[in-house]
Formats: sequence, structure tokens, C-alpha cells
Amino acid sequence: MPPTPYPPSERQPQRGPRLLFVAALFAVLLNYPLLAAFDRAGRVAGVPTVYLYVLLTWLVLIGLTGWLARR
Amino acid sequence: MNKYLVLFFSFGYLALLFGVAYAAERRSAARKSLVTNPYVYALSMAVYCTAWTYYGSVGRAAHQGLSFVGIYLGPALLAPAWWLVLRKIIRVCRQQRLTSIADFISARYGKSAGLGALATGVCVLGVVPYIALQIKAIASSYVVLTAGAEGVGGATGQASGPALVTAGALAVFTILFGVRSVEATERHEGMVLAVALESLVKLLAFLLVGVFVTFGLFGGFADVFDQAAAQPALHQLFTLHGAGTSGAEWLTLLLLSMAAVLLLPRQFQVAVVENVDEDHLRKAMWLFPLYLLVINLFVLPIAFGGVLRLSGRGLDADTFVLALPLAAGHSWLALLTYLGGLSAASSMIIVETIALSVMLSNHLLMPWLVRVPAARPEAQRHWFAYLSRIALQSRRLAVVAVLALAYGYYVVVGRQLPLVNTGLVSFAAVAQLLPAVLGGLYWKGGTRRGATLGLLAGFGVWFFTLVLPTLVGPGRLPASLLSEGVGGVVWLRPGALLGLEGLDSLSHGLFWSWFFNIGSYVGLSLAVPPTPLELRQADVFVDVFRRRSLAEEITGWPGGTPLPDVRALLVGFLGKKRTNQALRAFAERFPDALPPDNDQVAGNKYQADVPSPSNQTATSGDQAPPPADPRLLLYAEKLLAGTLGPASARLLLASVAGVEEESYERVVGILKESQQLLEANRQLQKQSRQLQRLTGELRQAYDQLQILDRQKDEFLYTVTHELRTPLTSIRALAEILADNPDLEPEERQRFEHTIGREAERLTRLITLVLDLEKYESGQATLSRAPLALAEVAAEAAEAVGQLARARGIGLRLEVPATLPLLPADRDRLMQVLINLLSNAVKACPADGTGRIAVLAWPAADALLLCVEDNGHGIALPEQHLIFDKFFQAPNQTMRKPAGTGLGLAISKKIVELHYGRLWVESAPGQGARFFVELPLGAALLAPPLR
Repeated sequence: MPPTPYPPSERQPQRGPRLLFVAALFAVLLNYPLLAAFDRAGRVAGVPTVYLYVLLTWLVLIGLTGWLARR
Repeated sequence: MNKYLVLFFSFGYLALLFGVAYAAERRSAARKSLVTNPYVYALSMAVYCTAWTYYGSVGRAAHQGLSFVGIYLGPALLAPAWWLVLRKIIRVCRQQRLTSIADFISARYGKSAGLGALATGVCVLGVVPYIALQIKAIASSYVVLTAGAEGVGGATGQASGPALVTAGALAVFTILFGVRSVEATERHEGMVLAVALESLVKLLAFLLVGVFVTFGLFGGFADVFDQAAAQPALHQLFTLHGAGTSGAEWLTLLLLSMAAVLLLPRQFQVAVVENVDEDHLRKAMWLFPLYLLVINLFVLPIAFGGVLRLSGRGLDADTFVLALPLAAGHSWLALLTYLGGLSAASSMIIVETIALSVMLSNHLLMPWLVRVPAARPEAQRHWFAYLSRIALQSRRLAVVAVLALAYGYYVVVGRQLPLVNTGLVSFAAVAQLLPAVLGGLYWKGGTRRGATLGLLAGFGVWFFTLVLPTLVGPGRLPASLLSEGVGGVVWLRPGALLGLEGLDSLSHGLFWSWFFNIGSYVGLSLAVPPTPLELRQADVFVDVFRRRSLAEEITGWPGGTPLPDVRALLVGFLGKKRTNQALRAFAERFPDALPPDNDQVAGNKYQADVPSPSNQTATSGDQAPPPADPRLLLYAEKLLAGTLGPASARLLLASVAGVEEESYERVVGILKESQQLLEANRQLQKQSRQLQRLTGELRQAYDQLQILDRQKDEFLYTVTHELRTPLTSIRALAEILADNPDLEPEERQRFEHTIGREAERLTRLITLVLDLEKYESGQATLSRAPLALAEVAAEAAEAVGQLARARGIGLRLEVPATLPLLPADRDRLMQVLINLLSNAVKACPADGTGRIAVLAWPAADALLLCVEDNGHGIALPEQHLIFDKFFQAPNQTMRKPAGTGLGLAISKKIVELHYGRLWVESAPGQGARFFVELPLGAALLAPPLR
């Protein structure tokens, strides 16, 4: 195992870029024009579609961030 | 509800906060901190959720549906990037001892006092209305609660009394727990814990109301939305376009809230200044967005529920959170809700006021005070000692001033404005700092002039587009301003600057303010080159993760400053104890920074009693006082920056050490050198990685060689062993013949026959070994010619036919004559076939049941040949060993094995020379099938598989 050229505090050089990618990806998912695709009149399980879409995407974002931050 | 009961609970709650903060301070003093964990850190960040979240979100949702959520989605989207951005800011601030956003901007752009004052001005002007909003929220919620369900409407006017009392109580709290020490870098553990607790209280209270409305007043989420769907006004809020939220507005909300969560003075305070450990960010990065999500879950049900149940009473939607439990007769729930709102408002007021007070004192007052010239050094020292007391008192005064300003704003202007709009306008003001901060963090080219102009332009446009319209009204500015523009100039309309129409006012304001802000910042930065000091600071900020210690930084302070003067300066501000402590830490870190003639213990030199020049000259005889190391000056500057802000600290040190002189060439040279060092370091790392890789490859090759060497030894050993067996018997028989000339003729003939057979075996063995050697060394060549496989197979069968018949084995040949011609070496192929067939004969039982079949059929681009027997078979572990040299099947237990152990090895080599494959399928007791795959024409052009 070759020694890594990073000090212990920065052992995970991939964490920053990965998290940045997640932020950028979800910024696109939660913006127009993608948001408009879910901005419809219908309701899913009684809840308006776009409300549910925003809520679920938000949850996934939190989960993904937590997972990446732990690694 | 009873007025006194409400007052009692309000002050009871504030008293609880005092208690919690006090306990936390005690624990902190006893080094048993309650605050150093990521959960308190994440909760304290939730100071982002103010009374505006608590009451205003519902108000906005009742009119505009989902758009309120953008204010919380922005921070959630930015949170993953905190690991890059916020961590960098924290690192910079820790290294430079910066304690506010104004410190940060001022320090980055050449420790400019002017820029610090400007940033402070933007923050104060932008945020004071926001604080006023909190006071208003407290006052009006008090009025709603005490007026009871019947009189809820319209009574929001006479709340100045409670508002004033609240503001006063919060000022006391802030001064007690927020402004304790002159060192602004000190953490306020009591305040942080109180804020974290308040975050919990407001979350729980809001969830309780939400659950009550959703599941108590209605039958769950679906029921709320079902009933709302029946009302056209509410039904159209189910979609964003129905609610009138455009893509531009949505994006603006996200951008504004992202800027706010990073730059609002209170967020900067809890996230950066009060941060204990950078690693806490990892938990906060997902806990904080989760908090935001949970607190917003019930906003829409409460908003719709309020409209459905309270629509006839002419209520402001901002009061639904309180009015719903009141109207349902649950006054205790309403009281709890009110306390939640109080906690949301008070935590925001406390933290924001602390942050603003430090900024006001360090950037508006101190730069003036440190400039006051002092004629004699003695007087100067007294003035400085006095100054540190002024700094602390001025911060306390600033707390009162900020709260008084906010209260005044509330009384004069704020009562008419709804909650949300003021908050967003505040966000837009703070967002003007974003280009200077992000540019300063990632772009070395940004300069002081650029940042100043950008900030001025952005702030000006912000005021014009977003604040001016709110001042229009009867008795104030004329309405014609909006429709006809300032002075009747059409393209100077605040709502449509330069004729830009079609955007909502917020997007319009943000677009133009950032347009001029970023444009001026980048443009002027590129037009006018930076000063040496700016260049140095840019390097320190942008490359913060690459620097490890103070020693790597370049100091610009001239040498030769008397050491006692520096110490006197520090003692004046930090006190004797703290100064000695700090200097001892410095001496430990840089032992070589001491004067060379000092042979005492490192720290002692710095620890003399009250320093005075006369004292010093007395102790060191006739010598001049020792000069301070430039690194000590840098260290002292940072210490002072933690107290007074970077600009004042620089001015102050300059009064002792002389002007910080830096020639452009020198700074550029040093920066270049450090860049080259970094580059060289990177190159070295790269080379060492390459070396490591090469070493690994070499080691592999060496291992390979060792294996080959061992194989060669084994081979030699086996060959000599194999050669010796027939030789021994030949020699023994020859000796017998020589020693016994009178042997019987039959006996002699039998011996001679055996000698001949053994010699033949020896010859065959040597031929095979030589053959194998030829194949392995790659010297063997094939003389290929197209041939018919059927002929070769028949010939081979002929050759072993005698042997097979002798053992009673049936030999069957099924090679169609129609197969395509195969380009191959006839003799070699024959060798392979005979080898496989004789192996099969050896494997088959000799009792008449043995069967051997030779089959062939065409495959894609190849011919497949199979030699099948029903002999004893080969166990799986041996199936790849049988192709090794000198492998003898283990069941051949006789002393003289039936074969040489080279046949299959050579066959495999021959087949591989034909670019083909040789393999076996078998199981013990079930016979064996040897397959030969020989490619036809096209495959022969490809290089051999190795």
C-alpha cells in the first residue's frame, strides 16, 4: 500500500468533488425546466404532485449528503 | 388569554434561557463543555429559521403556495458544497483570527478599513429591518394571543409596549452572554447552547401545531388537500404556475437563500466563529437540511387549514399558526405556539445583534480610535490600554444601538409591511457581499478597488430597485415615481430599470444589483493591478489549504522594532496574563525567533513584568533592546485582529513597528518562490509515486524470474532423474553381460533386447526434451500446408491400432471428409493425435470394454477435434496439471511409469503454435474428452495468444 500524499485531515480527496456534484445535480433537479415537468394538476396519494416531488427529492438529497459525508 | 399569564410565561421562558446559558458557561469554565458536538452545532445553525419561518412561511404559503419552500431549499442545495466552501471560510477565519463577514472581506482585500466599514454598513442597513421584523412578530403574536379568538382581527396596532420590553430583555441577555470578553474570537458557549435549545423548542412547537391542524382539525394530509381542492382559490395553489411562481422567481429564491445562509451575520457567527471542529460540518451538512425539511412539513396544511377555517374573519395569514389553535379553543396549545415563535424570534435577535455589534465596533469605531495620534510613547500606551476597555464597552453600546434602531424601524415603518417581503429584501442586501466573498476565496485577481466599487454599485441598485418602492405611499414618496421613473425619466423606474420588464420585483432587483456588482468587481479588478499587500492576502486566502504554519507566510513588517514595544502593545489590549500565555505559545512554536544572545529558557524573555523601556535597558545593560522577530509581529497582528478586526490591528501595529513596507517586486518574488516550491513539491510527489509504481513492477518481474528459476531447477532434476533410470538398467545389464561371458544365449539375447529397449526409451526421452526445449524457446517452426484432417486422423488411428487391438479396445473414427482444409504442420499434428490416442489407450481398461472415439466438426473459423475414451478419467484438480512437464498421473503407481510425462506438454505447445487450444473435460471413472481447437485461415493472421 503506497502512502497517500495527503495529511490525515484531507485523506478523502474525493469527498469534496462528490458532494459538489450532488449539489449541482440536485440544483438542476429542483429547478426549471425539470420542475415544470412535475408541475401538473394531479395528486398522488392525496398530495399535489409537485409538492410530493419536491419533498421526495429533498429527502434523497439529504440521504445522499449524509451517506457521502460519512464515507 | 390572560395578559399576565402570557407575560409570565414569556419571561419565564427568557429566564430559562438565561439559566441554560449560565449553566453552559459554568460547564465551559470547568472544561466540561456541552457545546462541542456536531448536534448542537447543527441545531445552532437552525437560527436560520426565524419568526419569519414560523409565522411568515404560512402567510406566504396561503397566498403563493409552494414558493415559500425555495427559501429553505436553497440552503439544503448548498449544504453538500459546504465541505468545500464553508470549510475553507472556517479555515481562513481560524488562521487569520477573523470574527465577522466584514473582517473577512476587509482582511482579504488588503486589510482595508474602508471596505470593512462598507461591508458593515451593508449588513447593518440590510439586517436591521429584519430584526425589526422579529420584534414585530413577537409583538403581534402577543396581541393575537391576549386578544382572544374573538378580537383577533385588527388589534395589531397597540403592541409597542411588549415589543419594547422584549427588546430590552434580549439586549440584557445579549450583553451578558454575547459580549463578555474583548477577544471576539472567544466562543460564546452559553449563547450557542441557548440558541440550540431554542431551535428545538420552535421545531417541537411548530410540529405540534402542525399535527393538531392536520390530524385534529382535519383527517390527515389527504383530507386537507381534498377540502382545499374544493375551493378554486386554493386549488390553483396546487401547482407552481397556478400560484403564479415563475422559473425566474423560483431561481431567485434559491440563490438568495443560498447567499443568506452563508453570509448573514448570524449565520456567519454560528457556522464559522462558533465552530469548534471542522469535522462537525460533516454531520451538520445533512442534519441542518433535515431540520429545514421537518419544520416545513406542515406549513401547507396549516396555511390551507387556516384559509378553510378562518376565511371569514379578515385575518392576516401570518397569524394562522396562532389563530387556529385559539379558534379551536385550545389556548394552552396556542400559548406553546407563541413560545415557539418567541424562541424563533429571540434566538435570531440575539445572534444577529452580537454579530452586528462586533462589526460596528471593529469597523466603524476602532479604525478611527487607533489613529488618534499620541505624542509620547507613555501616553500612547495608556491610550491603548484604555482602548481595549472602549472596545468592549462600545460593543455593548452597539448591542443597544442595533436593538434601538430595529425598534425604531418597527415603530416608524415596519408595522405596515408583511413579514416575508422584508426578509427577502434583507437577503438581497446581504447577497451583495457574495461576489466579493466567493471571488476572494477562489480568485486571486480580485482587488480592493474592485470589491469596493462592486459593493457600492450593488448596494445602490439594491436600494433603488427593492427599497425605494416600499417607501412609496401617502405622506411619503409619490406613486408617480414607480410608474414614470425618477424625475420623469422612464428608464429610471425602480420596477423596470433600463426598461427591463417582465420579471417579478425580487428577480429584477437581484439581477440588476448582481449585474452591476459583479461587473464592477471583476472589471475594476482586472483594470487596476493589486497592491503588494492585496496580492499577499489573496495568496493567503485562496491557498489556505496548502499552507501549514505561520512560518510559511510572508511577513511584510520591517525588522528592528524593539521587542518591549510589541509586548507593551499586546499587554495593553489583552492583559498581562493573556499576553504571557500567547507569547509562550509563540516561543514554543518558533524557538529560533528569540534573540540570539538569549540563553535563558525560551519563554522567559517574553514574560517580564510590566514592561517599560527604562526597565528593559536596565536589565540588558548598555545594549539596545532586542529587536522583535518579523514573525512575532505577524503573530501579534493576528492576536490583535481577533480583538479589533484586521484593519485596526494593522494600523495599530504600524504605530509601533513603522509602516508595513512591501515592494511589489518583493511580494511577487516571494509568492512566485512559494508557488515554485509548491510546484516542486508536487513534482516530487509525482515522481515518488512513479518510482513506487516502478518498484512494484520490478518486484513482480523478480518474483516471476524466481518462479521460472525454480521451475528450471525442477525440470533439470526431473530430466536427470528420468535419464538415470534407463541408464542404470543399461549399465547393470551391460556389466552382467561383461562379467558373465558364459551366459546362456537366450538369457544373453533377452538382456541385449532389454538394453536396446532402454536405449530406445532414452533416445525418445532426449528427443522429447529437446523438442520441448525448442517449443519453449520459440525456435520451433512449422511447415504448414493445407491438409485434410480425416486423412491425418485415419493415419494416426492406424499407428495406434495395433496397440488398441491388443488390449481389446474398440476404436471408432468419425471425422467427415467434407471438413475444410486445415493449414497445419502434418507431422506435428500427427504427433499430437498419436499422443492423445496412446494416452487414451493407456487409460482404457484392457478387459474388452474399452472404447475410444475420434470426432471432428467445424466451428466458427476453426475445426474442433475430440478424442474420447471411457477410461479411468481425471480428477478436477489434476485437469490442468496434466499439461505440465513430467506430470505423471498419481494412480500410475508402478515403479516404471507408462509414459515420459512430456507428451501432453509438447502436444499443448504444438497446438498453441497453431494458435489453437487444447483442453480436457473429464470426471473420475467416467472417461475423458480431450478437445483440440485449431483455427482456420483468418485467425492465423492474429498474433499468438500468450
